[in-house]
Amino acid sequence: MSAPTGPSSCGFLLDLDRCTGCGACVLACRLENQLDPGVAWRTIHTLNIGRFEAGPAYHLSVACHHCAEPACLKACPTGAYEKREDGVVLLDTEKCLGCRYCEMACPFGAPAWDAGRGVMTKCTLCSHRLDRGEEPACVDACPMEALTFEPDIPLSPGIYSEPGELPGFVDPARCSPQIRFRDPSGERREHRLARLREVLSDG
Amino acid sequence: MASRLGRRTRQVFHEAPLVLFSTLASVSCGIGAAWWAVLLEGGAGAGSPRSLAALAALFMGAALLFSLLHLGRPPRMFRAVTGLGTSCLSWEVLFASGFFLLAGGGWILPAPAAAWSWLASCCAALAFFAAMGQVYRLRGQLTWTYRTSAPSFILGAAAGAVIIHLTLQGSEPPGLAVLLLVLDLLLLLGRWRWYGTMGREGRPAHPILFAARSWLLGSRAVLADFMPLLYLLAPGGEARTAAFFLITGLFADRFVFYALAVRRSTASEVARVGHLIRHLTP
Repeated sequence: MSAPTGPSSCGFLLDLDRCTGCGACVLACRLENQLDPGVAWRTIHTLNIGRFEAGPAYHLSVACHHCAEPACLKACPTGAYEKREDGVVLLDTEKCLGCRYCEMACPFGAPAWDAGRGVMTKCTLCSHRLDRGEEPACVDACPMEALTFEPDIPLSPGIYSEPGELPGFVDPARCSPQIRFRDPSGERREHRLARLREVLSDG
Repeated sequence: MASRLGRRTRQVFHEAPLVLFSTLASVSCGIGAAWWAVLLEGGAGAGSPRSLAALAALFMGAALLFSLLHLGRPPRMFRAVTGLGTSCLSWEVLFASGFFLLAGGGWILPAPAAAWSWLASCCAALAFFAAMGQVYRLRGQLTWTYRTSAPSFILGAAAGAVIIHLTLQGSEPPGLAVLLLVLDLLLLLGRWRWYGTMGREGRPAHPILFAARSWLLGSRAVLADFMPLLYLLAPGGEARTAAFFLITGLFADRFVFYALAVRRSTASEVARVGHLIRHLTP
């Protein structure tokens, strides 16, 4: 990882070669934040579940990406969203009126509807743990150390896969998500990405 | 039983109250916006501001009540205007509420205050449409970002409002309404064709509606454009029947708008790429 030069923000780094999709991060998030059943802040999407030769196979463990330019924050009519100095995007549920407009605006499906409380909820990046100098619960629980917390991701992407380059992950709202992926390097990666790009352009 | 059914409906299609809100609000503000158009046409068909203000206020009052049904926490509704610095939704709520109050003033205040209140509400109506156009310009919503979505929405509402004007005053067949309806139909055809080019990427959140997409769009065209045109152009001009079909068609349009919404999210993108990979493999 190169040293950040310019403005930076915190976020997640996911090593796609290491993540096995075990779900420990999802469970840890649920327990740490005492989420109601049916509410999930972190989810795992498995790409190419059949492991077909034609495309890459990996697990994409994602939560809120604490974007540099959050679409949710711009959409919210009550000002319930706030971006802290360190880059964490927080939602004040006491201000939320449950209009669900942030849910429509976010292209990553991060804000989660809590039907029981009638408000939106979202990943806080375990800000209470960060304030104590600890890592987020999902990161702490990852047995493969595939998910890591990065306190200084440069706001301009480039140190890992750029959003949009990774199959299955796009940024249509151009909100600069603060997540980076470590993808397999070398000839194997180039080969399968080239093949997949060919498919995507046909599709 | 009823409340359970209501909860289930909200889970399956939580946008239902928004269909009612956006239809009624746009027709209501359309009455105000069309006032300018009728005045520009010569002012002869301007009708009575007080009766128009009453109708507009009632429509908007109903729209605002329906919008509350969509909120998870309705008692916090007043917070909706606290995000004016960043959120166009706040502006939409502000202008909708302002229109309601001003149109209400045009209805119940004594002259000449009523006339001024109605005039101000007509300005608020134009501002409401500008804000509403921005609300539905979400980049992540593929089917909402089509360039004619907002104009189509506004045209339909304006045409409906012109017909309502004519219905109230019983005037001759309206050239303006016919023109607006024809334009609206052309814009719809453009949107329809664009949906068709999206292929599987255009699969909405409610998959059952994907198969019925053409049927839904066709019904909308018949109800909102063909039938009103037919009745307007018929000998003698049946403005009331045309207005009935148009308002029904606007409900259908709003339903189609939300029902065919395609949200580009990580989940949908993974599913799309996964599908492509599967079909690539011999």
